[in-house]
Amino acid sequence: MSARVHSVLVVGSGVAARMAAVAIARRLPRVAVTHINTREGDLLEDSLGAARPSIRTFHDIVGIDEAEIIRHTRGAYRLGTSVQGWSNCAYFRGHGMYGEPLGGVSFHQLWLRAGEAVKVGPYDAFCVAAALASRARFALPSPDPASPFAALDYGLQLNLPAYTHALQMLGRAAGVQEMAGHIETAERSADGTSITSLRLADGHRLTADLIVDASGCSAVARRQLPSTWVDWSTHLPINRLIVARESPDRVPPPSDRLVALPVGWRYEARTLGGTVHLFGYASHHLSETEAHRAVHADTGCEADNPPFVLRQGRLTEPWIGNCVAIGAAAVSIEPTAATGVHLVCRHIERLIAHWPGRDCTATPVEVAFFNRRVGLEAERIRDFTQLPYLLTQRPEAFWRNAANGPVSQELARDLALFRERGRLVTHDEDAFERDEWLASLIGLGVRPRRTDPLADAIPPNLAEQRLVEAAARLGRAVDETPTHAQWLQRLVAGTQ
Amino acid sequence: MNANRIDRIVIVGGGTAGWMAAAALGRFLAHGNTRICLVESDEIGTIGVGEATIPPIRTFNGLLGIDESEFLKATQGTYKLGIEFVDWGGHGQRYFHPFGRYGRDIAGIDFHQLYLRERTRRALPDIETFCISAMAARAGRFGRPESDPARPEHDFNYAFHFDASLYARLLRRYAERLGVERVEGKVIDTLLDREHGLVEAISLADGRRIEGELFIDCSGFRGLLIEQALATGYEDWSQWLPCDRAIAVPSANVGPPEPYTRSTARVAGWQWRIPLQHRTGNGLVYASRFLDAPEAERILLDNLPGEALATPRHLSFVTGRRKLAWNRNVVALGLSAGFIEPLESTSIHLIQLGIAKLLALFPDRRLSPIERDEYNRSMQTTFESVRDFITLHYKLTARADTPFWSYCREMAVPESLQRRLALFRGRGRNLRVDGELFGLTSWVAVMLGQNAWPEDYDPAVDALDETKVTELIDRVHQSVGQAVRTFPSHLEFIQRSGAAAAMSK
Repeated sequence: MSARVHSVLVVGSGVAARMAAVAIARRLPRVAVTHINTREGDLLEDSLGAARPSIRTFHDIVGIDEAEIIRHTRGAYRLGTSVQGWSNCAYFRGHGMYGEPLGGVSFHQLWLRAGEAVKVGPYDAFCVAAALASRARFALPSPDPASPFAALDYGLQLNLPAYTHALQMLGRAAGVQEMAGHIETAERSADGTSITSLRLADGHRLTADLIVDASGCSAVARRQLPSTWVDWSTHLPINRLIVARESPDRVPPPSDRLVALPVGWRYEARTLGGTVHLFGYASHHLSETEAHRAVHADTGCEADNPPFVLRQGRLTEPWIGNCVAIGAAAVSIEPTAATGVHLVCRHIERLIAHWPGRDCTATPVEVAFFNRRVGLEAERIRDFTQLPYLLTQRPEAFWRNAANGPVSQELARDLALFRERGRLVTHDEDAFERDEWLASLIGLGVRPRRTDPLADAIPPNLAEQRLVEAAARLGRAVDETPTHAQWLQRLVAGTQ
Repeated sequence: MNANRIDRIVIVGGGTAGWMAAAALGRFLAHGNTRICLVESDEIGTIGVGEATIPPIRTFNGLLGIDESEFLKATQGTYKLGIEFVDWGGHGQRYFHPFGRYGRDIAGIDFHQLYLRERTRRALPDIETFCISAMAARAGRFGRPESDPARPEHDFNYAFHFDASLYARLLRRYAERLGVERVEGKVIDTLLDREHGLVEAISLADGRRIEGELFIDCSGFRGLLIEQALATGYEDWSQWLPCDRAIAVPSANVGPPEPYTRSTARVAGWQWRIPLQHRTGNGLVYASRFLDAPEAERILLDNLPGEALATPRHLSFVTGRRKLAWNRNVVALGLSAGFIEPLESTSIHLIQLGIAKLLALFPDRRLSPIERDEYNRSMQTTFESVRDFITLHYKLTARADTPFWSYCREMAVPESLQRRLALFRGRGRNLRVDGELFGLTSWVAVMLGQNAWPEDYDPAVDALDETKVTELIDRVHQSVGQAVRTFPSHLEFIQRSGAAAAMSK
């Protein structure tokens, strides 16, 4: 049996560090976990609690009861995002499936062929999550394959301050040792690729077999080792973030909202614990004063910070030697596709799946796999996040510039294939379901040049009739579900 | 409707590949305007050897709406729960590659990881005793899987053995009913248009000329259109898979058919045994560089389970793939697209996958490179992943008793496979690759079956309560054993389910 990792240092102060510490402590009980709380918040990671379905996998891994954590931290359910202002009409980017295939033909092909005929209804009308969200209702996915809710999936809207605190308590109970400290320097191994010790401002010297850097964009530990940064600022021009918060005023909807502005966007996420408005803009198109004014005009509340400087991009090697960067420390990308918490979940999941031996440099295969998979997923997220920028018809200079940004080879190929005949290829490590890509492409107004020849095997009348029936069936099923407010009330009352 | 729609599809060759393509294209594309014809010659006989498959064949038949029992009845078919490998890891060793799963996962941790830790604590029976399909196969029994979330170990998959020429006949009837036109004739020439180099027509020995907009080349290894007319090129993989000959011979059944394929390693290759209802398919795959044909034939005939029913037939091949499975307006399916030895019964699956991809990316007359490139890219990925998995069996041998096996043990393998081997040998990990044919169970079966024991188990297992894991492992073992005892014998199942062909007893 090879030597095991005995000690781990988790560096950071926000939700990512708390998630990593508690996950490692619970999943690897023989490992001593110390959390160095650097007390430097990271606005990218710690403002928006929109979590994709991967948060549920994370909760499973760690053993967190979902109802309990929502109740305790005053969060909410999350079915997807309503995306507004990029194309002629708003669209819903929902979790779970859109429609059902018929006779071996994909649903979206049948819908595209039917055209946007009024009698068939918009694309969203066939998505269970969208149908529920549009009426502020909620349901859990059904294990019965015949139920329309079998095709449903969901994430959570986390109320981050309370959630982070809850994880701190869970971590403490699982044996995580916490200490406050500011990292000043690191001593490196002779070859310069591992950290032998971290020195804190108060003179403390800390060592560990493995260092997990969850400190957000600043990557205070990982940056002590050699790194290469891939810059995405030409793909994704947003470089400033501002956040404004409101106290809770009404029951949160089971979805969030992303609204395009003349320069950038606003992301609105509501939970029982309060509302977060996150603004993203580009500093060369908007001054700080103008940005603050825009926040106030749009939401009536004041931003509570000077703009956070965001450099979008990723580390080519999040993991080197005994130091692994996770979350925004590894991949810094605007959260418009709700990928902030998602990245943290996935990176922790992968770190545990590729857990090394004591001498990390002796397990290059695992390190290489981790880096490769994290990298592939990050690039798919970048491509997906870039879609609204590339495909929008908005006339403002900011948006016209963005629409002419560079496009990755994979995305160019996918767009070409979709524009040709509505096909979509699946990729390794894609964070998004095929139906989310389709909903985005269709929602942003892209239409294939021709219909799928396979669809010709199904007579248009029959297909349209089936579509109309399916939408009606879905509507009836949604009628019978409780509202999101009722779900949350039951949760809070402890009867769910 | 699209003005550029392809209205004329010509399939060249009527073996298994040709008729599978005809049936599927007929089912999904023959609606009024599209004409599909298949050209084959009775002179070039197809081969009536037993063919083994993997579970996705059920999807293919399902899409065509072919009833399972009717299908088995028409093709002398039997059920297949997996493959038994004999003498691969070393002399006297055997293991089973099941179409099922090992046990069940706990908290997202794969069962084999639980097993790996448990065997550091106590003696455990072989991992196959935790797999329902392996145990049913050993007992010669068969039953349908049960999808019960409370007992996930009861869920498994299965495939079939059947007579491929009878299957082609069944599909021919099916396709002809849907309007696919069969043309009897021998292709003697291919005519290309001057401007784009597309295949315009083929001409037959009797002088007829058959025009088309899209051609499906199912002419076998020689690749009448894809290679002889378009000179597409072939990528040779024999450095990793050195076998280049096969001999096939049917033999009489000596007992009830077994619900699995057997592969036995021989001095310079391996022998297959495929049980059908009316007889057994046998064959030897070998490397001519290490064994000559007469000796190979003697080895095969000495090792038949029953009396030989025909003269052995010799075939030669080069393992590899056509550089472009889709070139201009020709799509190659079956042997014309590439050849990988039938060690894991992938031949029919690769045809089926090619058809499914072609349907999904079906072009129009403008033949956009976007669809063609996507097709070629995805077929290449699949061929390579199958290649790696087959190569694994050879690489992992401990045998050094013949020059052939020494070569295999020592040979360099593709980098993609090297990485996977290293990852598994460390902590028993396997990465999942999208679109990969062989999943976790398959890799674990071959790795452990051929003694590639990981140095350590996944440390995440340590988070699980040892007593609970012990209990679970015992419970799964018991529940697998009980389930298998409720299954009837394979033959009885075939008879009771109405799948028995007229001739079988």
